[in-house]
Amino acid sequence: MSPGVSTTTRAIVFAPMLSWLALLVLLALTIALAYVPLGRLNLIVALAIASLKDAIVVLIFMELIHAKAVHRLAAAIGILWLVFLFLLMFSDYLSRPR
Amino acid sequence: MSVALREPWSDLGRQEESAVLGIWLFLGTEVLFFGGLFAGYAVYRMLYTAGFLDGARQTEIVFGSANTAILLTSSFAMALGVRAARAGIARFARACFYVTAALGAVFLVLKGFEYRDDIAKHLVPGPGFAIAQRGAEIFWTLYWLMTLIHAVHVLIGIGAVLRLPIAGRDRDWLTRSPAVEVTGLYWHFVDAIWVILFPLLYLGGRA
Repeated sequence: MSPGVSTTTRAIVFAPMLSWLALLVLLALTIALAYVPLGRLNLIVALAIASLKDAIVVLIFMELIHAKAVHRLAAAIGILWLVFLFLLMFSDYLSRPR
Repeated sequence: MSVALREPWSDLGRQEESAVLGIWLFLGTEVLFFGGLFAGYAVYRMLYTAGFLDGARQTEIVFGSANTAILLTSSFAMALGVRAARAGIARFARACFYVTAALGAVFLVLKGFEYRDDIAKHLVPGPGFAIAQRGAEIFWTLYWLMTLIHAVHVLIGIGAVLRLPIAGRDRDWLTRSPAVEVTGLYWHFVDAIWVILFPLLYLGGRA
């Protein structure tokens, strides 16, 4: 194998491999923390770890971190509508008398 | 002229840019599709917190955790495949896509065994449902809906991923068609959805 090919291989493998290891560590962490009684924080911690995992997936596996502006915009808009959905829905449910 | 180039594009770069924009817009609609289910989950969990925790405690966390690791690993293989195809390392890329599809199939098989256990434990909403706590049945309705819709996505993903090494026996197509990147984005998205489903369905009520 020429040095050129092995440099390419390293460039291909490095970021996904680190991401994959980080994802598995975060998975182990979130499972372990689910058994620690934290009250309402359990859900928040679990969702925070899930968000971190998805950030790794979207930014590195899906390469959004060095995607073109138009692609990053399209991806961000998907999240924007989701934010609207939750904002409007909870502005209703959380303001109802219980 | 490359076999990967299709009408109406004049060059591969523009074709790639359009195809990737298209899949991101499609994934935006998918975010809202699953978003509706997440929204329903959020409201009902707020209204029936005890029932949701009792419900979540009954999910098979071993299957759920193993399947999360499997799907994350499949995404790793997919990420390698897409990068290898782009770099022209065709044989390695094809192998990565077969590994991705195989891990997807393992995910579905494990999900099947898990469903069998769920059914045996009377966790299908309806007459004879196992948990008395109010709201647990709503949790389990969402469990079946979310995981089945996700499983359909995995199934479609397996088909799309298997197409890559088959159509990609043509090296020029494999290394230059935007189908490779687009399929990769879809697969990672299905993985990303599972990453959210996992804490919602498996981790509640354990502490």
